[in-house]
Amino acid sequence: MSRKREKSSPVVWMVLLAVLAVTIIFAAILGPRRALSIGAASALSTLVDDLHEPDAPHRLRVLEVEVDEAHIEALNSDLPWSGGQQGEAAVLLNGVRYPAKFRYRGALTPSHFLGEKRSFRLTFKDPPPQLPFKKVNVINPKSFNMLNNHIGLWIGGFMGVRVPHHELVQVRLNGKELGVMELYEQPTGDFEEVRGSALGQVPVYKGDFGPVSDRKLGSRKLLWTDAAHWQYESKADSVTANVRLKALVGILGDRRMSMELRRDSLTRLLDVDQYLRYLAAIWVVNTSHIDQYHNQFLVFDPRDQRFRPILWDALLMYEQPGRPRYFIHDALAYWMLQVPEWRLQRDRYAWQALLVLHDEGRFLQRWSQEEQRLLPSLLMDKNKYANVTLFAEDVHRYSMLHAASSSASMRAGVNDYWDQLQDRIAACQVRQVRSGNELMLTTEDECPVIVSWPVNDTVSVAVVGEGRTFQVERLNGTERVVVHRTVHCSGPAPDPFLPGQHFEVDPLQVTLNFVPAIPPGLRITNAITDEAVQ
Amino acid sequence: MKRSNERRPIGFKSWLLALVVVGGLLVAAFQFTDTWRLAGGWPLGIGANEVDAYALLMDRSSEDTIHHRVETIHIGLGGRSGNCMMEDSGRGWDVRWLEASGYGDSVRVRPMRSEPGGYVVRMREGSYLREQRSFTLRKADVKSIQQKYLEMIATELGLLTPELTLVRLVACGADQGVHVKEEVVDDHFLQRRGMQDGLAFTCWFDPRIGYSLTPVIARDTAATASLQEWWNTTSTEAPKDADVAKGIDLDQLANWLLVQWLGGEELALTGEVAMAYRWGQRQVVPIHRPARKGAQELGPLSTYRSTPITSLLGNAELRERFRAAQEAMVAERGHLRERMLALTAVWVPLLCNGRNTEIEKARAARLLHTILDVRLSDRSAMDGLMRPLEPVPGMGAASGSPALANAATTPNASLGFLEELQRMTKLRVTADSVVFPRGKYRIDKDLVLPSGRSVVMLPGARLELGPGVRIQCRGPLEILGTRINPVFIRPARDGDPFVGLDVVGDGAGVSRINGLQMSGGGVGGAASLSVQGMKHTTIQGCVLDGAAGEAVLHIVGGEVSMEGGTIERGSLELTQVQATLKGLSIIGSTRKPGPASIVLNGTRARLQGITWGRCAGVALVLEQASQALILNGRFDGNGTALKATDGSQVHVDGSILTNNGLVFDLNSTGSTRGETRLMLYTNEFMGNTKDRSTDARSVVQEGLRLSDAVRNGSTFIP
Repeated sequence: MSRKREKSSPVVWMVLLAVLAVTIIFAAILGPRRALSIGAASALSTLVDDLHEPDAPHRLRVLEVEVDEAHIEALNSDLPWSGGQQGEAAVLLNGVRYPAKFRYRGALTPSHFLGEKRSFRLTFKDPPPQLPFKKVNVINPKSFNMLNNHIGLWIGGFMGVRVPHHELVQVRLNGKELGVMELYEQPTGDFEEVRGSALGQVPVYKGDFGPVSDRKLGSRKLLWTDAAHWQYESKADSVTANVRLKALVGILGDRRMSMELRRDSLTRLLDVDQYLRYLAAIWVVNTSHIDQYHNQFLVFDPRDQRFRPILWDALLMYEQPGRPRYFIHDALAYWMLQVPEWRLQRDRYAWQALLVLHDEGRFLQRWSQEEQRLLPSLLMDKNKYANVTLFAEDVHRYSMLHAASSSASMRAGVNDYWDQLQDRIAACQVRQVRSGNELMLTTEDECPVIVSWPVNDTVSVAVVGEGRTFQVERLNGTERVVVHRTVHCSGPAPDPFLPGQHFEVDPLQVTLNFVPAIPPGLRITNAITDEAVQ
Repeated sequence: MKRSNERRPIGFKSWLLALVVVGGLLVAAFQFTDTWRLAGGWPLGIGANEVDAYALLMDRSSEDTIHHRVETIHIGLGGRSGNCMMEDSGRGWDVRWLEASGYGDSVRVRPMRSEPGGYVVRMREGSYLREQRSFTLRKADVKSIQQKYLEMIATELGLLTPELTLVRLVACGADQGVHVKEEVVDDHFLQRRGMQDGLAFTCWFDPRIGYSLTPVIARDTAATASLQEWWNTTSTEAPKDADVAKGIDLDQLANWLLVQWLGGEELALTGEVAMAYRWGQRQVVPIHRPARKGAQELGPLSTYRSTPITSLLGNAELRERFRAAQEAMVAERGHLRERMLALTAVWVPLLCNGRNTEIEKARAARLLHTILDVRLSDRSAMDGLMRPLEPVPGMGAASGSPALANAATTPNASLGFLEELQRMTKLRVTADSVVFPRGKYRIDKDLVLPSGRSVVMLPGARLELGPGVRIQCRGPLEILGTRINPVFIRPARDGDPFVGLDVVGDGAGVSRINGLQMSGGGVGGAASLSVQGMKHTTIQGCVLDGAAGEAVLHIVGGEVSMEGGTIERGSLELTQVQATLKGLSIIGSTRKPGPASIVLNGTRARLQGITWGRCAGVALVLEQASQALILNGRFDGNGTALKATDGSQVHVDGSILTNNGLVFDLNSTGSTRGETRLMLYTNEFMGNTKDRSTDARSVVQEGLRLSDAVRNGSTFIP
């Protein structure tokens, strides 16, 4: 059996040589790794994605947007500076046309304006019932898997935190498929109204970088140093909310206040429970994308006159695993995390969430469902643009393989992180020494503990230690005292406005004196997990 | 063996052969398959289009003659846009001329926002088409018959459901084909079905929807608050099934779930769901309404939002009723099938749109088979509806989150003052209560007592409150006074009123107030004694004087039992409670008339042996669809004896009404509430200036006799 080999054409050789030459030049200019990443992304997106034939209808909502081409050209003329001009547009949903204003958004992060899939904002005077928001952002997903932000916010919502509406949509701009984008509600004064929790506009404050002006990015201001650094985003009357915000800012800046006074003052200005859930969500989602300068929203409830946070831009696993337990992302967290009861409550919220999200597999289930919905649109999306290297300007087309690999590594990363987190929360080896009426507890672990015993109505037990009387609580047929942990700030000169600080837990050594005696049936548990200590 | 690299073109013959073979096989397969199978699923990518093409080209069987005609609706050009309605893609209303048999008027029309190609038509007030205020028109095809089947079952089960009919739509100068006409579910829809206190609302169970997290009843904030209170019960750590279940008509919920199941589990609980809230009974009633196409674009649900309704899916009682409803429908299956087949014979020829009638009938029969024989018989139906629940974003703290440690929420100033009181007086603070034994307590600063602890006032305790001072109990209040040895709450200085005593509970506690004598509170319009968030409040033998306050006692939520005692110069306000009041005296003043009353707001109350005397304004006020039974009452010398508004209902029996300015004043300001109704049985009227004043929406009826069950209390209110 013989087979005649054809001679390769010189053109093929020339093309291959040209590719080689370009690769060498790029490798020399950009460095081999960066050049390889860009080259691989380009090659794979051409070879894998462009050759794929669409085979299934979209399972995502299709958002059809019509904008005057001349307006788009004007916006494109000098990006990112030219993108902020509003123009007339319309959104088509179920065959009904909703007039809107259209502009690009996101001048700071290049993935918003480089590439062919540019992030934009729609402003409605009279929004559609399916998207009952005055402003929505339609954003080019930052991660290859396209799900990071969506799942990050879902986790926040799952933990009881206020989150903006967020969904993945297939966008069609002037009849052309733009691809999969994130539809992201921009919180405004009607944030509570659209959720059915208020009858009209309520005060909403945005803590973010200032707007772009004169071809310069917006200013960066420490949000909690001045109430004026928060941008008011509502049409509701702001008089009361402003006074309360100024009071809140004042409390955070006042370093002389006693812990008790600060705690009680915060309770009157802030929905503490919501804020603790918010802190727990930041910890569980593992994001450091929320800081002293940006990505914060506060909504004010006129009924109880307190602020509540909105979780915003919660990129899942934005931070590397191994971050300190009591990481301080801003001045408010700096003071909140110093209150032992609040630290405990935050930890309990995180633990309870992990039991469902991780142990019961709800996170993986949700990820997989969303991925299944996304898949047909992802396969058809020829406009997948994101940062293919760590350099901000390297926004290039990427392929399905990138998306698949990113999805797998994200799921594995989250699982590893939560394993570590659970081990850390559950670690509670406590040495107990009893001597007469005294019980000495020592541990190097970070857990607060609960000492409990069955209620005996004939004997009233008092517990004294560390020079104070512990508050004995009664719960479900038991009496108990909570032994909280003390913490100290990591830096040499702790300050609420310094970046990158955290609290470290001090080792525990406490002697509890029971009056009249140590009650029978004494039980010591981890205050977060309610499991008996080892 | 040698293999050629040359490409061989596929010739015309090959193409022709392939077409003939494949086409021939298909035709043969179709020809020898019965119609039932023909209308079913096919393998190898053969779909409904191929079957339809075959039926159109090859099938020569005679078609049914359409004997049935549908009503024709003509809709004209838009008054605002001048456009034909099919060209209108704007979201707003346009005025158009509508003509139907015996009807012609200007109506408002707009495209449906939840279904492409659908329209909403709204008539003018009073000018209704077939008694309907508004309806939707949606393009019909043979699948629409499934909606009609389900409507038939829903009606059989006694569920509220909008009527579906077929109409032929003529617009834009052309026949637009057959459309499904469906009445819009709104308050008018409910009132047409005799639910005078019904308010329509919509809700979502889809956790992927980040808005409309709690339902809102348009135009009625009081009903919204009441509904949301129930809706948020599932935000608590461990909601009790019984608490959740009493807020919804369980039978109707079971029926509704059954119809949802029959409609296909992939569509169950998707989209925007219509419900009614019965203000009088504080109960939600589900309404069956066909799912909208637009609402299905997010796909089936894998989880539900945590709502009272979804949390009940595991409830044993509900499952039992679901099973009972299912059994009842199975027993009725033969009867249902007959009616559905008759319906098929009428509807399918109309819905064919030129396609083969036999195949369309077979398709309809398949739908019928799936509903009646497959899904209705499925014993695991309820399990098929179960999904894991997801918390609603942001609702973690809206209500019922676990309380934080007391130390974190009680102001330091109050803790300090409490310690001071402990040192200076007999006051005791224990692990679970704060006790005021017999003795005098001078409270000259606001006092917030630690949450979760009962506040106990023992007989002989005398609290003297400074000007403008308020005490807040964040747990159950136990006042254990007696008539001989009461508990006193008085101002520290006469003429300098205090604010009052507030009791704030978590919805689960029980408060007992016995032998309290209280006066001089209510500065700034506050109630001298205010109780909210208690599951049950019992009040006995109290004398409450409200010289400075409009409301001397205000109770919000829960159940109230009140017996004996006097309310003087102030009002007793009950908001959203179920109350039993016995043997009370409501007195305007000892000499001349003064302001005093009982005000019921959204409350169900049984008032037995109550005396109202010398009340300058209205002695008994019923607002916001309250319901009251007055037995053996006495109204004497009041400005107005009884005023009822906005859908309230009062029954008066065995009462004596003398020397009042006006006896009954009935009116309705909100049209959504339905009529205000007064039922009179055997009563005595003497010396009253005017007997009654009623508006057009109010009704006075004379009843013969109250049933014994009502009189002896086994039925709370007729």
